[in-house]
Amino acid sequence: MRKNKAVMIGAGLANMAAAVYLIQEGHWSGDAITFYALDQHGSNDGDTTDAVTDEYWNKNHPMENTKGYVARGGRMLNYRTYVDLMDLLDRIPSATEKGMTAAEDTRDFDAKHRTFDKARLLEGSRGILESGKLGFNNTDRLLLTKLIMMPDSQETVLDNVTIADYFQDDPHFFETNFWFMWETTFAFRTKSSAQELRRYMHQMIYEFTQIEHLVGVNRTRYNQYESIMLPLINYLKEQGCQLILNRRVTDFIFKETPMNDEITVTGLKMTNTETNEVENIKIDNDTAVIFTNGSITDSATLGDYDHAAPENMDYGAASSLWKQATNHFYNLGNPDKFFADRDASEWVSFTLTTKNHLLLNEITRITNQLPGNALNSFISTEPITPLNQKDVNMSIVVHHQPHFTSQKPNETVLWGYFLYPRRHGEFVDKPYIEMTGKDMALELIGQLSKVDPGPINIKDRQTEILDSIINNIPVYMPYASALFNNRAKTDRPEVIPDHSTNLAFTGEFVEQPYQMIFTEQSAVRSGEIAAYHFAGIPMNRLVKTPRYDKDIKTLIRATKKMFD
Amino acid sequence: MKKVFGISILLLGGATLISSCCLAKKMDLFKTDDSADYAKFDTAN
Repeated sequence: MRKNKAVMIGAGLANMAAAVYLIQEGHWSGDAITFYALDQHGSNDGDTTDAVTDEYWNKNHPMENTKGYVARGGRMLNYRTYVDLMDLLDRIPSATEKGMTAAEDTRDFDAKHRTFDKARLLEGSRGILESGKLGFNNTDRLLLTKLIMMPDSQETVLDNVTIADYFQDDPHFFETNFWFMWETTFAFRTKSSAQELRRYMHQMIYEFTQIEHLVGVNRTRYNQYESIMLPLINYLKEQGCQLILNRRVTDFIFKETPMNDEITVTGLKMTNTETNEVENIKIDNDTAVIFTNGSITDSATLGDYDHAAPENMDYGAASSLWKQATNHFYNLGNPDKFFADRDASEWVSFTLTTKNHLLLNEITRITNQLPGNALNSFISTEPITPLNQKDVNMSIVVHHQPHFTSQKPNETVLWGYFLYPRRHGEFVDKPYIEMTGKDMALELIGQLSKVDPGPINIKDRQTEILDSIINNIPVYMPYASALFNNRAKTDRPEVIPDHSTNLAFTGEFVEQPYQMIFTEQSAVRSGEIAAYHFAGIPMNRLVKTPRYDKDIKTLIRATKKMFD
Repeated sequence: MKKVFGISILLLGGATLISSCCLAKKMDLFKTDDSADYAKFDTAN
């Protein structure tokens, strides 16, 4: 139904995109849009550690060392397929580069710093691997081909099929260079959804042909918050949108109907997280409610150089509200599939800040890779998986410096993550989830030492390197890969569910055609669909989606690549 | 002999073309317009 006002639950990329489209395409007034959110930094984050310590998920776990920077995650872009994201960024000014749109800003930066990964995979005693050799056997090729050949209309065949299930008769797949690169580039786990893997194979088929060098990866000038979120926040505030932080929406109030088949929100109950006061707001007939129903950084916690990140067992703010909605209606999906199985989705990241370039220079020497835009993954020395196979221990991204506008010229910030946080370190005998920032730095130095070509091994400089560290922030995220959890097609609500008169779902836990998740692209597109719906704009005006999975030349190149 | 060879090539080419078309149809390669997939999100009123 057409509306003229909107309440946004969640102030992440998807809802901010919806607001931009409502204003620019729907010609809404900005002051007709109100956001309610927990805090400023969601999944597209990045700031000084100090700036985030009092945010909702962090304030119950005070940190001793709040120096340095933290970005819980990072995003790689792909201009070729992220067409909705680039359309959005073209509509708003950059927050850091005068006279440029946010899209021009990233294109300008990326053109001058093209990604070409020279050390994608590293392994002790072998050094930098020839990762362009994907390592497939014929069974691997056959199973992947089946996924690529499967049209959209048949994807329900993969309902409730995990990647482990799909390849259960082909354990060799998990020992290929392809899998090592794929799992760590996109953060897929073996318990992740094969249905989502299929979507990725389709939407990223072009990049499959050049996966080892990450040539198709495009990057923003700075961290995600400053390069993507801040331009949106600035623009929307200038347009008159209200951004009300420190609110946790706990309940929808729905209109009662005899058959309970009309979804109409008539009110919201929320808690002011600063004062603990409960507030009730009415939703009138002219207001849409646009709800981001899950966040991969909900319940995340931070540690510091001397403390591991504690575990927060909260189900999650957005997901709790989603669950409350599903108690009323049968067609709004199943949040438990995503938020009640941490073993399938948790991982730990770290953001390491140093006061000089010593560590950066060592990494450059070992990987032959200039700082900026590579992704390096270190393979274990021994088998570590339930299938008794080797796997990637940790991965790092050494950003182009500076990664934050406030970073001093001599400082370095790099990021890393452990996809399976309950595994043990090779150099620090603890599960990664129990490691302090110092432990993680030691583990990193150890992994680099395994592949160091010399003549002086990085371990000989360990003391110096540790002295150079300002802080290393471990981040535990129980739901980091929750959006990839095993699912059936009906486990996620559609952007506009059947029978909904004023409620839309946006973000990474919604069902929309074709899109792969864990991308800014899918987040923006979901917001765009919601905006067009409530503004009465026909869907045939959505940004056109390129389909490389239907391009014969791309398919031939992909087939050829399988035999590399 | 040349005639037989020529006819064989034609038949082989034809078979390849038909198989490719069948494969392309199975993969939905001919469906390039996905706007119908979004029609369900259009505003009713």
